[in-house]
Amino acid sequence: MRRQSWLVYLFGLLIVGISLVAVYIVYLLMTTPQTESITITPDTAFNGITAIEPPLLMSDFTLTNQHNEPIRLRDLSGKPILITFGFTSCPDICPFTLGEMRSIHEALADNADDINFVFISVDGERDTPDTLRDYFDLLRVDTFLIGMTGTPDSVRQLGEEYGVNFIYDEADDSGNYGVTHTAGMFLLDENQNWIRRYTYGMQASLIIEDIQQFFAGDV
Amino acid sequence: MRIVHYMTVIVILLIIAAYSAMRTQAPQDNRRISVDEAWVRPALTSGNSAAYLTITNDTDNPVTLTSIAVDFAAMAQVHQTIVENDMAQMQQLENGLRIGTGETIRLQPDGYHIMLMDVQQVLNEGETVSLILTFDNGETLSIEAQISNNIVNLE
Ligand SMILES: [Cu+2]
Repeated sequence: MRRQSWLVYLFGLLIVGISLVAVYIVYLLMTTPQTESITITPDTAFNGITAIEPPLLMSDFTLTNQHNEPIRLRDLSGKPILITFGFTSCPDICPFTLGEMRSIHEALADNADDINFVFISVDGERDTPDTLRDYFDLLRVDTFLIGMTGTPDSVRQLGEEYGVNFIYDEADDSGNYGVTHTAGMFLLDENQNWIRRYTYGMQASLIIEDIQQFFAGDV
Repeated sequence: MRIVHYMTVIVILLIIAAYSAMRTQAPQDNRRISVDEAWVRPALTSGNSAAYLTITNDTDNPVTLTSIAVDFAAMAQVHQTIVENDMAQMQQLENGLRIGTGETIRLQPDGYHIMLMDVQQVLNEGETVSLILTFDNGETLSIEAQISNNIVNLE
């Protein structure tokens, strides 16, 4: 009888022990958060760079720069040109691209002045030369970026050659409107032949590498 | 022997009771919604800007970010950038941004952003602005965001 009650007591202890462990495991399972984050993974097969083969000689055009002077594409020959299209009230895509241009300019170091950086406005109505200048100051790209603005019609016409399109969204009550436009960058060589298209959102380091290879004569 | 049986049952019941008490009285401060790494794009007056941040939901239920209030822009909405044929477009998330239990969502260029329309003052790099986020569980978070134009895809 005495021995039996000891056994039962031990059995009871065992159950208590198992319950404690089980409760602890359940507690851990219920309090461990599952971390799940949304990341955008680019297409692994395509690195974002499109080579234009054969290179395409681009037409000349004249627009107005941020200092309110006429500027021709041919004025810029003799150096390669990195071009992007956008508008200064753009919330997301254009500041992103100009931030990239700033990084590319910095990364090119000794070659930074051997290439022209150009921003062509698709919103000539609002993007006056003064607005371009203020915007470049704001984004700290004023020391190297060449702005070009003009009538939407003239920009639409020259943009066609680059496959650039833009659509004005409907204005809200305060007259504010967005412009949906082709994003990314275009590289012309020193003879103004279009040689590269860089996809929007691609790794900036790959653009830097590609331009460095161009300067090294490997392109 | 019967007493030992009863004791065992009582101990188990006590443990269960203690555990459920622990569950219901869990400290509220580590079961909450948190926001980190908030930053806002520079913009000119009457231009548009975007805010990016990371939201983590450590509460026991999914939550939805339903509205954002700012005093430096006319309107703030959650948008998603969709790139199609190299044309970048934005769409408002009409039903807000849902964050599941234990989930972390990063608002970043090329994904989600808080669109800040018709900016009322120049947003200069280095300055900070505040945003108030409201969730459907009634929770409100006031956050500070640094104005910056540093790119995130250089790696
Ligand atoms: Cu937007």
